[in-house]
Parts: sequence; C-alpha cells; structure tokens
Amino acid sequence: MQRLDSERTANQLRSFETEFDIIKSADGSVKYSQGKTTVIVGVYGPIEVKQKKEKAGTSFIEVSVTSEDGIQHERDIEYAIFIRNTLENVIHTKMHPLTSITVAIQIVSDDGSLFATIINAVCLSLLICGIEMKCLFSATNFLIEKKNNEINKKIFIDPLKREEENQIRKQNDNILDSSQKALVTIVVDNVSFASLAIFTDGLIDENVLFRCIELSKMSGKTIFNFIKLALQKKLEKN
Amino acid sequence: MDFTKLRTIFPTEFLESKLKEGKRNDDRKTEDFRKIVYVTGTITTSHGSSIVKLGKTSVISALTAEAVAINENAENQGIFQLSVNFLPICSPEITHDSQPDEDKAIQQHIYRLIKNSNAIDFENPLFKIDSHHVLCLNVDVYCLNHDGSIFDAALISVFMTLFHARIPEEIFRVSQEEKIDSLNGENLSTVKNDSYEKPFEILIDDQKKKFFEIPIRNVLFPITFGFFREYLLADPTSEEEKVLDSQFTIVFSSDGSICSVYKPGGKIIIEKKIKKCFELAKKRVEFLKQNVFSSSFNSKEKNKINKKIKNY
Repeated sequence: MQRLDSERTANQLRSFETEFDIIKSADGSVKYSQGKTTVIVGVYGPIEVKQKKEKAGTSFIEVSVTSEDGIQHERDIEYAIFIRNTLENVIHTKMHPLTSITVAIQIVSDDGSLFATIINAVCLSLLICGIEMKCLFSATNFLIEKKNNEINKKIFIDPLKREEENQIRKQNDNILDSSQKALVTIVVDNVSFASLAIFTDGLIDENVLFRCIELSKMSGKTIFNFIKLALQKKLEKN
Repeated sequence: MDFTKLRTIFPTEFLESKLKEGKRNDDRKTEDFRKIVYVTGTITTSHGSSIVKLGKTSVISALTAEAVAINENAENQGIFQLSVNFLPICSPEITHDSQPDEDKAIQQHIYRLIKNSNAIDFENPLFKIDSHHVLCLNVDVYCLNHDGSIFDAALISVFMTLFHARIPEEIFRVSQEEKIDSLNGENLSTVKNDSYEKPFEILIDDQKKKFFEIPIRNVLFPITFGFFREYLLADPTSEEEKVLDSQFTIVFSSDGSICSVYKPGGKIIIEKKIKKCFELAKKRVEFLKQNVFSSSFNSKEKNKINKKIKNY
C-alpha cells in the first residue's frame, strides 16, 4: 500500500522519542514525539486546590491543551474535555481527596496523529509523576481513506499531516477531487486491550470501526513495550 | 435495604436496586428512549428556530442568516457558525462562578459533524451570493433544562431549525456601488436582480415575498447510551449520568453511514456490547426517520409555516 512517506507500510507506526523531566517545577513532565509530532506534558499533583473546586472523597482533575501558537482553540478545549473524562476513570482519584491533579499539555509541532500523541504523552507523564493509575493506556490514530476510483476503504495507522489533508486534484480540470476521509482515535488499556475511549471525525462504517479496534490492540502492545523500555532506561540512569 | 428514600444520598445503590427489578429511575426499561416533543418557529425574530424536549431535557435553537464579505483567497463556500451555551437556568450545578466546559465540547462536536459529514451542501449556489459575499448561517443553541442527553437534543434541535428555516430574499442583497439596497419601499418581487441563482424558490406569502430553504443533503440522528455495571441504558437522564461507568454516543446519517462514534473515557467496552449498541441505534434511527423527521422529508408539509407542536 502506498503511503506518502514510502518507507512505512499501512500498518506501521512512526518512531517514538521521549525525554523526561523537561519541566523542573512540575512533579512529572515529558516531551514525547511520534515522528515529527511533538508534545510536552507537565503534571502537577496531587496539590492543594481552591475551596470552590475541591471535591470531597476524590481528587479534582484539570486538563488544559494549548496549541503551538499559544492560544487554546476550540479543538484544544474539546481534546481537554475528552482527556479529562478518560483520566477520571483511570486515575485512582479516591486516594487523594480534596486535592487536584493538573495536566498541562503544550503542542510543540503537529505532523499528523496529534490526538494519539497527546494521550500517549499524558500516560507517560502520569507514570513518571507517580500518580496511581488503574491501568496504562495508549492511543492510536487511524486514517480511513477511500479514493473515488477504489472500491474498498484503506486504513492507515499513525497518519502524517499531509496524508490527513491530502487533496487530489484532477489533472484535466484542476478541480478539487477530495477522497472520502475519516480519522479515528482509539485508546486501549494494557490489561485487556479493550477500547477505553473512541473518537471519530468523518464518515465511517461499522466494519471499519471494528477493524480499527483490532488494529489498535496491536499498536497498543507496541506502545506499551516502548513505555516499558523508556522507563527502564530512566531508572538505569538514576 | 430499601433505597427509595435515600435516592439522593445513595444514587448508585438506588439505581442498582431498581435495575434488579428491571426498571430504571423513571420506570423505563433499559432499552427505552424518552419521548420527544418539538415545536418550530418559536423565535419570530430569527429565520428559523425550534425547541426540542427529550423527556425533560429542553434545548432551544435559532438560526440567523446573513451575507458576509470574504477575502478573494478564501473558499467560495457557505460559512457555518455555531454556539452552544448552558445557562444557569438549566441546572443547579451551573452558576455564573462555575462554568463547566461541557457545552464547548458539544459545540465543537456538532460543528465538526455538520462540516465533515455532507449534511448541508455548502457548495450550493444558494450560499454563493457573488464573488465577494457568501451566506453565513449563525446557529445558537441554548439549554433550558439539563436532564441528560443534551447532545442528542441539541443535534435534533439544530436539524429541526435548519429544516424549518426560511431565509427571506433581502438577505441576499448586498449593498455595493453597483447594486441597490433592498427595502426602498418597492415590491421586492418586481426588482430585477441577476446577482444570485434561485434553486429553491418555494414559498410565497400573502405579501408576495420569496423565501429560501437551506439545502440539506442528509439528516443526522444521534443516539446516546450509558453503561452501568453490566446493563446498557439507552438515553440516560442526568441522575443516571452521574453514576454511569461510561457513555457512548453514535451519530448516524440518513444515508446509512456513521458520522461519529464518541466514547469519552470510562470503563472498557468489549466488541459484543458495541455491536448491541449499533443494533439498538439502527432501530432508533428508523423510529426518528418515520416519526420525528417525516414531516421534514415530506415536501407538501414544507409549505405550511411553523407553530406546529408534534408529540411523539
């Protein structure tokens, strides 16, 4: 299957890179990249919280996402709400009542598959911060594409930005002939590899969704292995 | 232990004990949806409006259309702007101090749906007023009562508003040096104007005014489920939403494809359950198509204007 960076197959992830403790004042921080998509996450917690926000019995989780230009776009607010909902069921919030856990995410560069990169970085940063979690979680982005002259839809794992936005022009008329595209993000946990969270954008079918869920188990294993390796190297240094 | 008197203190245990009897908090079965009531044409100052009630959840939406100047480099397509707001009136938890951002998530979700799922034909000549102006649809959605499944009610309300919107001819006239501004006291139907095509000339009032409808290709049907222990609850109320393990929203398009699958965190879900959700969702889509949106699809009914209360 042809991809725009022709070294990868349709089912191959890009290379990962992690750097820990990049923000000195944070309790846990990580700079994580998949290919050229880079994200910095800083976790502060459990810390004191204003009386307005405090919850009896559980910790209050706050997530904020900021774009490269420093502004919180609507898309960033939607991502933040989605991640907060995911974290509320993954973090053991009952262990730290009347406190807050703040996750601050800064997008450094977006070269495709942004949502998955953010979620993986959040998992790494929570691990390094030492906050108790019920399970690890990892996310994968899928690009579903169907060009007009093809019958079946193709699924590409971890798409590049230019694959996500690729517009095909007809050579004769120079009219935009955009193929049907959809983006799917699936978050899996490392206990049962079942889907923890699903986010889609664009038109898809039922069998495409189930195929993505299957593929996400495979890519989830790869990412969990990477997380293990990264932590081992960090502990060896110390 | 009888939890009925301790409903507010032990909401989880109350729901559990009710489910063992086969009912939910409001005596529905687990797979039953709530009743939908809708009214259109309630806000007469706008070009289209509707109120939708899903059980007790009420959402009102209104549409205003205007001609907007665009840059030469921008795409010559219709513009769609949406704002969703939860007012303090809708729930005791929402006050001026604590503004939850749940409404921004719903706003962005509905905006993405309408932009990416071919629901409205933005390339239609109706939207292209001339080379420098396009039609901009401003839709405002307000929640009047928060009793769960606001996303469902909001999306249905947006589509009701879009269907029953009647954009008057004056909106399409833009004042430029060459063109004369409208409403100079002349009868509009006699003014010649070649600046826009008229693909949808439908209604003619007593005053000989022409109105335009919005070209809708597909209708989107939202279905929200909640998971509680091993039970699958359709259309959760706000009381149930607080104790659910996870929520799951599917949006179907009237041409059969899935526009959105949204599961914002929560407990894990196995494929069997997802398949069951899809089965229930398809039945619900049929129900919505035949009952709630049937009058919108039927072209004869389109000519009757507004103020109809439909109760299903």
